[in-house]
Amino acid sequence: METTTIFLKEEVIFRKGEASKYAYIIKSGKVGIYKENDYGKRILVRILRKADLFGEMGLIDKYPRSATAVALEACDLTVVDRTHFMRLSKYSPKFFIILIKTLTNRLRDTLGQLKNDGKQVETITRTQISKRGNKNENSIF
Amino acid sequence: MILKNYKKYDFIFREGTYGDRAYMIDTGRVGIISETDHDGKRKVVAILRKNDIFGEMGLIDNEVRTATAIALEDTQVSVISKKTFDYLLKHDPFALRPLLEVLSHRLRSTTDLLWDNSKGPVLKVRS
Repeated sequence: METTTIFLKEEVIFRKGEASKYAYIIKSGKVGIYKENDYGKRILVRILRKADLFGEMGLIDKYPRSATAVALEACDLTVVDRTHFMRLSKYSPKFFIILIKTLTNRLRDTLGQLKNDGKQVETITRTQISKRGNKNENSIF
Repeated sequence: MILKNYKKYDFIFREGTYGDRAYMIDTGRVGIISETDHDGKRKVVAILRKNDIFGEMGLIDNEVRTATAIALEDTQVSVISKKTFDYLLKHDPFALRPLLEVLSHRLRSTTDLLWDNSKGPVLKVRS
């Protein structure tokens, strides 16, 4: 099923370690992805914006959430549950391409950080997916 | 699908080159090597075996190889070409699901490498 939901500023969308039930697409607003250490200290690792997809990894591999997602401002989100997610990735090539490119871009970002680790304080830019001209991507939902 | 054979220590592809093929190992072992580590040393980042997939990032986004792949013994691979990939993407995307799993798995393990639970990372975000 696909629904719409609203998160207010600073509300937690999901927490690291929780079971992964949904993926989200941002209709408006900004979302921060945080890593948490053993002492509960949060570090912002990525900022996502309109048309970005997040929370998809847990639906692909069924592992718990690897990070915490927090609304950085009031957010309007499309929520996709596992069944609908599977259906979209099975029958919508367009969705599949967005999915696979999102993951590849993030992996390249992360590998880039890893290579530079120790050389400089790394700067992370937002995922590239929304820059690639997917202006109509909302139409598939 | 095309099959290719590599002898021990043959390069399958080199970091920094362009390539749009992915590979699946039929027999043998492949080493994934990072050539441009910050301390200038080569580092083996993964050793892959039968049924493992590699090179999928180049296939998906046509960007440069992020690491070198070398045969660690006589190795046979199945080549997934851009043409096959595009065909499947159009007609049967679900057949490409193993690629999603590989990407998701690598993203988790790579992110974990950046993160030290006791110290935390040295990361700064630009919005």
